Amino acid sequence: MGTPAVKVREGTPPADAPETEAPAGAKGSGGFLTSPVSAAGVFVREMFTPDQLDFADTARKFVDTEVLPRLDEIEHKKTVTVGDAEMLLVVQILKKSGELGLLGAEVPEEYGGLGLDKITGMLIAESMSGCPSFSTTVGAHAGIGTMPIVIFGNEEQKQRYLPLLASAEIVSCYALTEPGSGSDALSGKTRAVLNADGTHYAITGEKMFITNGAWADIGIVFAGIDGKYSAFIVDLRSPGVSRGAEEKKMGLHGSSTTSLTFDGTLVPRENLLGKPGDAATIALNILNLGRMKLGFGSLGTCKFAIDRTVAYGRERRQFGRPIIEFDMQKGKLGTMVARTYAVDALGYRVVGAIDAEIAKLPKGEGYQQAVAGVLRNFALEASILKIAGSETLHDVLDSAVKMHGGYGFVEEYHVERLARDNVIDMIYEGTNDINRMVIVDSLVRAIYGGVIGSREYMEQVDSALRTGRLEIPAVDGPLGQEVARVAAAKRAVAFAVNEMILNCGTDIKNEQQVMQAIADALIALYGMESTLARALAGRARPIPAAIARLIVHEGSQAIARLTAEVLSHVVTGGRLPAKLARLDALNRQHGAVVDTMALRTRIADSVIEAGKYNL
Amino acid sequence: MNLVVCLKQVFSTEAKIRISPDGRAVSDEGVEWVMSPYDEYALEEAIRIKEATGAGTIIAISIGPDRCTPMLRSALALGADRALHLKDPMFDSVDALGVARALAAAIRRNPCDMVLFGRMGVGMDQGVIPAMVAELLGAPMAGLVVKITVDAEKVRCVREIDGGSEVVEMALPAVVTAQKGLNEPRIANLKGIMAAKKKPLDLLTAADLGLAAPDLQDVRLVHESYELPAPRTAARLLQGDPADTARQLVQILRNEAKVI
Repeated sequence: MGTPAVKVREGTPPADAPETEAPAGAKGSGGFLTSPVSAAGVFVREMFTPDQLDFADTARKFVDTEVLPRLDEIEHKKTVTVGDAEMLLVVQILKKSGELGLLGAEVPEEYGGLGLDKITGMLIAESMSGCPSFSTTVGAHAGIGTMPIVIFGNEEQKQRYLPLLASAEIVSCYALTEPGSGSDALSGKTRAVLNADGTHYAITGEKMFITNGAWADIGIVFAGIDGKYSAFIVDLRSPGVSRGAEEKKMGLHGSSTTSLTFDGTLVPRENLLGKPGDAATIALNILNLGRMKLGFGSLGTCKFAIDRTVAYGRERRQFGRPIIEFDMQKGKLGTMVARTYAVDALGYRVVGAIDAEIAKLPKGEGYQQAVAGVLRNFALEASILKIAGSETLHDVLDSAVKMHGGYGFVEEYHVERLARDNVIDMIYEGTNDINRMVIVDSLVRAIYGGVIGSREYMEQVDSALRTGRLEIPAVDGPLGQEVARVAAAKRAVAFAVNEMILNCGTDIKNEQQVMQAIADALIALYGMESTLARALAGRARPIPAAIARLIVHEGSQAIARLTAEVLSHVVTGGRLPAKLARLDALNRQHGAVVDTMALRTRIADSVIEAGKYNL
Repeated sequence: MNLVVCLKQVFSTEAKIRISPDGRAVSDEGVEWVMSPYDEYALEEAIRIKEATGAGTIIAISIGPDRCTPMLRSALALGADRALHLKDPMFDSVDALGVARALAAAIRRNPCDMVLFGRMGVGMDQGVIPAMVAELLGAPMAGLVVKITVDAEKVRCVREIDGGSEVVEMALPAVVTAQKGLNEPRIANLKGIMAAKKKPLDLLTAADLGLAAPDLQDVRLVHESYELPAPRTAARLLQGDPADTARQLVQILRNEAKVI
């Protein structure tokens, strides 16, 4: 593990954290907003252990040999005969991946898994990408369909189900959404009633859009017990369960999405997960994990799409040259690569910080609950990762399709299907709109709760802006200008957040456009800071440094616009011009002339030469 | 049945080939190293033989610098029981015969029933080491093998030959080189990767193998120079009527390409 080469000191509020401690931003809850810019304690992919690289290699090879050659068959829901049983090809492939151990990475060893950390789990998710129908089948089973039992199951439940789930001998799903209950996830009408003997709950209700619905053996099903929303492990082969027809979807044609209807389905009492009323805790924690996995899956698919686009663009000649050599194509490719690098940096930063917190927990009784507590603290960062991953992938695929010309519109070249499959990434596991509200909601709670010690910081920023003495000293060393720009951007965002809180108060919930702008500013800020930290951790080698310059520049510009928009809306009366002028002064002082076009070309050239995404 | 598999680390097939400035070596700067693909077949076959016979050990051997360690760990993850890493500054300057002497010395210290190689290390494509090792061990050898059947005393190999196949039978111990088609190598299981950490990976120097300087300084083959193939130039489209384009073509063939 390399110690970061550059220790960055800002010299302005707040005081640097003690050197031995990871910065406060490493504990979640949006603490990065009020922490100094630092590469210290930031986990980056260059720190993977040889084992982690081997696990990723297995995952990638599995996808390359077992999944990608059969994408068309998966897409058309081909069935195969195994022994004397008929099953869907995608389920057979899922079971094969279970034999390799790919589905049990995060299941503890004593229950048939590997008990690996979250970094490894996410790296495996990243590596099993480029095949979204298969990945979503895996995610519904091994992620949201298994992790509730890992984290919230009792000993008997774990022993009974986890070994079978880790090996995919049985397939799981997660049934929360209902026809009338989507984003308002805990408002479901499904009911569970304890029978007279007290042995079984009878579950009645309908669940909607259930991934793996057609073939899951068990499901994590949410239902209310006397008004207390709760979670159950339900055997979907029991009487009273019926499965709806496959939804006709825009994408993910190879995955199963059906409704599940329960008509007095009897579930043994011991299959209640946690206690009555635990649904909120279970659902929200599991969603945090699911959101991060989705972000990492998107990251892997970004790289996959870049590789396809580079390969196509080198092969395809027009006007006597490979089309990837044309300047406009390089510009697009440079952006695709830089933004993918940024998602990589912010993703592993989040999960690295989570693992560092989990590593401090004492093993034994209550360990999994404590893990859940850590995950909860990173709800804001998990939402950032989900949005940044899915929307970066959206933009990468938009360019990839266009850079394939007419071939981008036909199935054969992968990107057409990926572009359709990606749309759902921005909708499920909490829509990106809902996730933006989670970001701001979590931040406001952390501020009011004193979790991230922000009040003093906000006041300092405010007074410094007012007096115009907000001097961010020049930082020596590579990327010094970028360090100063990120520090300035933090102050701009903090200033806007403070104005939002002061002026909107509890009315914030009705100011969703403000929440959206603040969320976007936080996403940009976290992305640019993480990119910078990763480039610095790698001693600012030329291509990562070029990427950091580009991402910091674009992020600064976005933040200048978003914060000005927020101020223009929330600050009323005659105070606005003065406040906007302060914000402008801050942004101007740390503006810079950056030749973004040259940076994009340089980044693109290095990837074109390598023939693939190689960062 | 005890088996030895000899593994070579080679450039990934995607690596961009560059010649070093002095023209006497291929530059390995920034190159990704992998197990030679033919060696993967050899290793896979050894694992299958062990699974079928249910007994014995598989030793994976490689010679080279520190970068070989991950490859040997991968071999352990896939199913080898032990790994021997032959590493010594004296090995840096040896030719194929020197490598064969080191391998043979290591194999003699770990007697086995069969030694498996890939048919050649992808990249240099010399394919001479298996035969040298067989000679040094005094063992029979079958190359380019696409099917192996073993029993207690002998091994039957199907060899790929021009236009057909040949079946040979050898007494054990014997040396075999694997050809594409022998099997389909498996992917490492995650539990195997974890278990590999606990398996022995031993470093052996020239002295450990009882090799003295004269054995290794006897270099008979020297790489004089390397050249990349000439880059392909873009096609030229000749314009004009047939008589005119024919005239142009003759001019080009005579004056520029100088082939007529």
